[in-house]
Amino acid sequence: MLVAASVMVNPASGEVYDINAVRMKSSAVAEEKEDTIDVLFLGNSESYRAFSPLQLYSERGITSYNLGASALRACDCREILGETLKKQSPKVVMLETDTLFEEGSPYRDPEANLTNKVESKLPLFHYHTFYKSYLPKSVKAKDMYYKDAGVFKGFLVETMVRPYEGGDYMSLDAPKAKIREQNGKTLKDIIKICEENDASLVLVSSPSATNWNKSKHAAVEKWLDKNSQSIEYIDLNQKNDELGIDWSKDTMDNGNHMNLEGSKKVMRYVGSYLSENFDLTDHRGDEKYSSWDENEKKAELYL
Amino acid sequence: MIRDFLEFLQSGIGISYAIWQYPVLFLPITLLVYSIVPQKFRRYVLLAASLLFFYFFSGVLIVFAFLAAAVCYIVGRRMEIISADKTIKRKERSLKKRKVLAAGIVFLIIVLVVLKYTDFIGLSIQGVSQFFHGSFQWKLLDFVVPVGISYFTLESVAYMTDVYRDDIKAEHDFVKLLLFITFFPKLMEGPISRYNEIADDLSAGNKIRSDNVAEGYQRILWGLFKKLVIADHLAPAVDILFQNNIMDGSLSIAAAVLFTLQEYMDFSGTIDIVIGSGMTFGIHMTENFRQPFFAKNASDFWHRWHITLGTFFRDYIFYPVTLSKPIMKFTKKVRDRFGKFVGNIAAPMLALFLVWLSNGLWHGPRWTYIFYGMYYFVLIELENIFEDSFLAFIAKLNLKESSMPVRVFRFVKLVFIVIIGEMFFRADNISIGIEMFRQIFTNFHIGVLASNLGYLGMDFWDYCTVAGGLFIVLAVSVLKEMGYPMRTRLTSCPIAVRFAFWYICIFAVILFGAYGNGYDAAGMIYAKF
Repeated sequence: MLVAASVMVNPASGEVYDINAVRMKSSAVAEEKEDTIDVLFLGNSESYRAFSPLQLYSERGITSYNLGASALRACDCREILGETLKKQSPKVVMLETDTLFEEGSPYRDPEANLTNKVESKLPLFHYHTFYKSYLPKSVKAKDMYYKDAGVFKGFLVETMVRPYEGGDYMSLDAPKAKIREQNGKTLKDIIKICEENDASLVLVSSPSATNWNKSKHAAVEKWLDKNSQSIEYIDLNQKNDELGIDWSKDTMDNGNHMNLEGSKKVMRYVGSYLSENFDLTDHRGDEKYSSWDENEKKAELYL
Repeated sequence: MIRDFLEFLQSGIGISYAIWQYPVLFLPITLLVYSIVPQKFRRYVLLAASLLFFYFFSGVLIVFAFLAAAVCYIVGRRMEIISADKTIKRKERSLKKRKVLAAGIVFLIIVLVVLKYTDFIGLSIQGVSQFFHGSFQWKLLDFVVPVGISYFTLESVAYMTDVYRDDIKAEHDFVKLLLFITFFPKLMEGPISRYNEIADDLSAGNKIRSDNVAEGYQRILWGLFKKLVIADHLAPAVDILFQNNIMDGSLSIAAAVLFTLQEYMDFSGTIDIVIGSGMTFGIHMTENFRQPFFAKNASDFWHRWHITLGTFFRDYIFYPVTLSKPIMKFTKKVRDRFGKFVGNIAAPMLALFLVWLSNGLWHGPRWTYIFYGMYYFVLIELENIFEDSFLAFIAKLNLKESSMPVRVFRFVKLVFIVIIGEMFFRADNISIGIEMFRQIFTNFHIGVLASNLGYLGMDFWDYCTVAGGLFIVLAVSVLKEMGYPMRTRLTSCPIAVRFAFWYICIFAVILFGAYGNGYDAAGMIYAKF
């Protein structure tokens, strides 16, 4: 019975970690009109707190969507990307790198413990909350990934200020980091998906004083050197001065994530980078994208 | 490979009985090894499993379990020798035995106090010093406390006292004593067992019986349901509500109610796992809960909640104090002076005070726990004082004690008393507890709670799961209170019905348990005592 139930709940790709977050984000982005998104942001909470599609549209007219979710694994990013590309044809995909260091991708991972191995044989134990994806509309509408997604396009606004006071975190010694083998394989899958869909993949590390360090930076560079030297990598943690990040004001949780003010500085840089390096259309004034102008007015954040 | 496997076992068991390593690996492997060795070696299998279990949690601090067993052994044997010495007068023998008993109890209590309460005492003295503008500063010692020390210390005290009272014979077999102290199912959260209840069965090496294993695992499943499906879902909400930013009485009430439910489901669920585990070996441990929310009043509540702690305090503090010569003399004087009613109230007051002070302190080195003990001391005394008046009052209203209005009143009163007590128990300090209590009456807005339901770490399905789980537990509790023979009825059903029932239960725990992706295993609440 366990085997039968596992077969029933196992997602088709067999490698999803947080099935409920994947389904919620996928159904939120599916609400967007077909072929209207030019840039996708992938990753975990470091993504959805830093990259604001509404600001990118407001300043440069570039349409984008933030597919980030809390503690999202690389395999989940791949799944959401695959689902999104069924309706959208973005030119650029920006993957926030912190997801590459998330643990817990259970399948075919040589570092998996016995619990993970049991889960890989009987996925029911991993996906036992699959029913949570099925919600009444009134409840689904209140889900954090759903309720304001139509306006903010996956970005989560937080105005709270809790300062970071630890100094230059990128110069501190940090334990050696490496991209787990399974996450490396998933990253190769993402590269391949982007190539097949004519999208340029860019790896980006959003500013995080308590979560990012020079070891993780080195691990990303090392992986790219070994596996894919053509992929561009931007570490915004090395550009704090250029961005003008003020850690006493621009973080919501003592240095882990950006708050709204921090995200504005990040997006100014990212917007500038995208405009200079990719041929992306300014959709402002285009009747087809008038809803974006309305959203901008509704949000009142970037007027 | 064996080392990796043991480390893997430790990674789960070292947190909770409800992590799958315990019921699916550790317990069945122990059962298997126990069943295949010859009978005379089976107790060593239980002992080895228990010592390994202890080691998973506390490593080298296992030495304290050996120490407790050694003290019990030495004190018991010494008292036996004194009892057998007919060259000494009876009165003198009794006095000598009492001194040996006292030495053993004091020694173990000192060990417990030093490990658990030294920093608490030091910080309290620091607080008093600062209050009087002194300069005393306490440097934290942060002793690591071995698992279960609060439980096996009381069991050791009970053993030595029972030997002193000649209720049981002193044990000559050290292994039997050690096994009693460390028996792995009851190590972390009790029940606080008496030596004569389980020691013989533990050492007998009785054959494993399939009906015991079945019944034991059914009980474990029930415990997992209460812990994983209900208690662990409530854990994040309770944590959030008790953070120091409680701003509304509706949130205080929610915090109190949810913590009470979480604690009851967690503790009683773990006890189900414990008793079920013992049952698989044919060891029958004492029940620790008996539908506590069906109690008539606070006193009755404590005859149904953490029963073995209550009976320990009754047998080893309340009765010895109440029946001591000075107290009996005092009681007689009060009765003669102020009448029977006052005498009956005053007589047990000192004993009750000591019981509730001990209850509070036993839970740990925090003033909120002492406050909790004193809270029940005051309330139970008030109930004792006003019970007769209350009965006279309802008689005047032509109401019987068993009538619905009286039962509803008693229930509502009890629930309020219990949840407020639990609120203080869980609060970070007494000031926060008082502020939360005050806000219930001065700043209550149900809309605040309603608007915060989505921010308590529980989603729509979590609320549904908890509500459904509570309904099932309530239904089972009502049936048990009525004495309905659920097990007998179930075992008399056709086999297909029985299998369907148990498979539904297993899948309910698998599907609705708060484990894995998105959940951390909420450590057992009572394991930290």
